[in-house]
Amino acid sequence: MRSFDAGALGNSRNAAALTPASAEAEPRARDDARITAIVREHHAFVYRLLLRLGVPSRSAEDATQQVFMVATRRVDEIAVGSEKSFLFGTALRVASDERRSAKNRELSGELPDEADSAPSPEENADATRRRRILQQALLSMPLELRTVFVLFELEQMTKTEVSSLLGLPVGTAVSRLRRAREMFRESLRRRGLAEGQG
Amino acid sequence: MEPDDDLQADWSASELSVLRTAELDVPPPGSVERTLTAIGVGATLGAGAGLGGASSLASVASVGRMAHASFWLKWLGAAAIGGGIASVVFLAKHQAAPLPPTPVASAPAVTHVPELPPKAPLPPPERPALAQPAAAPAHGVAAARADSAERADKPTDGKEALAAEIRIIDEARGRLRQGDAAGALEALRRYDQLVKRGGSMRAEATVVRIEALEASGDAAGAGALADRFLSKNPDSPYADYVKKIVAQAR
Repeated sequence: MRSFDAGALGNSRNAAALTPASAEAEPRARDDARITAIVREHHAFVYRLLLRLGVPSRSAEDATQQVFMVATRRVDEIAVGSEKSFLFGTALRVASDERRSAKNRELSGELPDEADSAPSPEENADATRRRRILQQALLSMPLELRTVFVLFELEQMTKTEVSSLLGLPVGTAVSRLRRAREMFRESLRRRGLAEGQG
Repeated sequence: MEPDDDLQADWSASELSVLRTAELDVPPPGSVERTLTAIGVGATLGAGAGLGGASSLASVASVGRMAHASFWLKWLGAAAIGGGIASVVFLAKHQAAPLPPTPVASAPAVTHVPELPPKAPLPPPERPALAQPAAAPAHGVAAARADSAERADKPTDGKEALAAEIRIIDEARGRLRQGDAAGALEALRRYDQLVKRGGSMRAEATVVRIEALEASGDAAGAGALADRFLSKNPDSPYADYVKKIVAQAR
């Protein structure tokens, strides 16, 4: 919360500039500017990532906000240039919590997310159907393979960026990507989208 | 030359059509502003910006702003009761004068990071046609049946088994990073027990085993395993990495 120093009343502007309030405001303003920049640059990435990590669409925006709240609290610890890496790790944890909550809601008898489990009114639209198939194919992969697949195939990162973000040797990232591709293809085959079929 | 040419996938048309739909996953309109409001740096946005469809977290931030306003009201009340005219004058001046704009409000548009070199850019997806909300889906029952079949078809066991393999390998790699080669080898023994002679991630496990053997001082064992691995998998993505480990060991 902003504060002011009553002792600065009637004093010069220079004196006011030396008050604790002013001294505190400047770093805060810098942090605000930085976190605003981080949000604007990475918001869509975090949102998409959460969806693909299994967060239901109805919760994706709240989960995105949670990721950036964590970043806001720890902005001083985030090294310049490693923002995406920090957000990625945070998104993994938030998605894990969210999936657990969704499972608990399901176990406690609450209805599952309608938008994610039942055909929507637009289900007949071909693109919507394919979108669901993509999501189901992603969810059929173990998280460790899914993240590699998502970052490389959908986020269009290079293998070096993916391995760096995940803290894996490049060969491991590539090997996991190949395995994930096999699973993706297998998943599509099971859903009647074999090669050559539209 | 593209940096990842060796990883270009020969996706079929139908596979591409599914992958393309990833481009439809965009945050809802106003989501960025609502996020900024929720984390407390969006207060300088235009009145009502992001609040129309604000989520619960954004509402928390609104409460925070209300608390800020009530702070000033309390001061005004205290000043009136106490008859502290000077205080009232100060507060009136303080309220009349807007707070100096923070850099947030005037922050320039964020400079985007350079675009990554496109790898086989995907053509634009077909946008799903908007259906009338009241219209019942023509194939709702069929779609629901298909959906149910798809869910039943999910290879949960296979997925879990694969996840278990990866967990053990990651544990082994983690122990190696901590300098615990014996612990890594022990984890890999559990891997062998889990998958017997098979295993979807066998190549990855073998590479970690080569590293662990080398790290434990068994250069001969590491070299022998590496030679076997390279003869069986000359085109493996690990081939160069394994050669490097062996070169270090010898």
